[in-house]
Amino acid sequence: MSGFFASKWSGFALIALLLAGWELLARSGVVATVAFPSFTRVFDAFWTLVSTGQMTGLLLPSLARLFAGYLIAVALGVALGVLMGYFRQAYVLFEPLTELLRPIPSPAYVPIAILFLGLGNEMKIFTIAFSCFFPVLLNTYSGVRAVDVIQINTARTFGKGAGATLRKVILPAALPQIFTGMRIALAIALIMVVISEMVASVDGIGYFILNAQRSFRVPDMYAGVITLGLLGYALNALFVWLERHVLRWHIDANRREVA
Amino acid sequence: MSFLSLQGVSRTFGSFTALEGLSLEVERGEFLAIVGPSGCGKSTLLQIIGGLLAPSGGSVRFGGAAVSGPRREMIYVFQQYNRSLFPWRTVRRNVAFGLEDTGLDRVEIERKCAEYIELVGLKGFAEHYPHQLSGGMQQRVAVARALAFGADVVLMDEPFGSVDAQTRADLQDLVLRLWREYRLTVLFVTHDIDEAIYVSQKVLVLSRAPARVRAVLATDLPYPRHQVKTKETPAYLAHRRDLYSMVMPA
Repeated sequence: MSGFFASKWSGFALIALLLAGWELLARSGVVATVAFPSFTRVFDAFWTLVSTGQMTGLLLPSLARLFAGYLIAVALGVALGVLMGYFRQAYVLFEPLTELLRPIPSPAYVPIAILFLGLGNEMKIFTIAFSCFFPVLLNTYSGVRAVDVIQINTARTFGKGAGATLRKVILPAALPQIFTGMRIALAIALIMVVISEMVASVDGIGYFILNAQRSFRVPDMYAGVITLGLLGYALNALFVWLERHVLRWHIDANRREVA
Repeated sequence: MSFLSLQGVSRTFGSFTALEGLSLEVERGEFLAIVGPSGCGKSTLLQIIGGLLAPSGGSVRFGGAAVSGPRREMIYVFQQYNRSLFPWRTVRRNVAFGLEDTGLDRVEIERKCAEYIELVGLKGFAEHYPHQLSGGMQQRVAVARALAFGADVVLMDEPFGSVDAQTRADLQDLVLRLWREYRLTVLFVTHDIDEAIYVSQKVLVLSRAPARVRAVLATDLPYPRHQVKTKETPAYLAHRRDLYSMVMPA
């Protein structure tokens, strides 16, 4: 038995057990079935979405917004973060502003964004980019500020100018922390794409979930939520894969330190 | 006119004076060891010569021109080799670092990297990352990287301070061999008097901070040196006695 709990299968078994419990609870009629359809009905709805190709149509607009907003945030966050980490004047200038804006919960920007950008993609991409920007910015400038002065002096003694020092020393040295910010931002991007689509949209996964609930297509609603779970898992797996490739040296070096 | 000359160099950090009115002449091709009590400003002096730190007063002249920043002809080898090597670059790419952005083409850079990696005895480790190497091997990479850069003057700041005794002896012999082979000028900071004598032609003794030149003593020992035999000669022992009495007054 202890062998089973130590194996990786115990976690999957727990999920299977919970799904079986869900099925039993729904079929026994203890909970109102309209709000709580059985797992098999939800899975049917999910499978219909996938097999009819509707799923692609649901996810594509959401993924396009997510990546557009996310990539804008990463580009701007890294650029300003490097500036703030590298130049003390930039840090002094921008730090109070970022500290003021950062604690405001991102969904609060949505109504403002609607006023200026309307209900379309611009508003959604802006909200996603704005929310993802701060974790990337913060991690980038603290990563840049933490670059070892000996590495910078090494670049100096080898006669490197500011550009080469930035590209060949500061950015790679700060990259592990930049990735930390990018990972946090990715989770936020998924949250914000759903919120912005629920507030104002005619397509996308967030719109689909809310619309299914309002038109009493309850199994579809659950299927949408499960889709988000799978999507979040897939995005994170993609990120981990990318990180392993880009930061192989860092992961290996730290593993050795622990060992 | 000297190859490298310091005139009345001072350096303060806030209210602390590390160096005061220090003057020094170094000839081309010289191997000068720099010793002194710990915390006396040896590294500060070396960093000023290397253009990494500006003096608060006085001047450093190299080949007749004032030194106001890092110069192509000089390379600094840091004491903390494990922090100076780039962990994201392999041995080969670390050695290539100094050669990039200098107008050399790829083929030439690769050829030089291979040459210097072999020179420091790391053939077969070119594709290793620094964390996969021992401390002594990492310091060899740092030495290869510095020499591949092709500077005439190598400034070494306690380069072998944190490796084991055997490795240290090997590295001393390696540096001596490279110094002779490439006709380098080496300024070698160390807190180890035996090491200073073993490698040098001259030993510069600094006083307690604020550091001034206490003495410059010639090391009258023939090259090539031998880790055991050289250290048994009367000349070596007499030199060692003189230096100890200066660095550590009774």
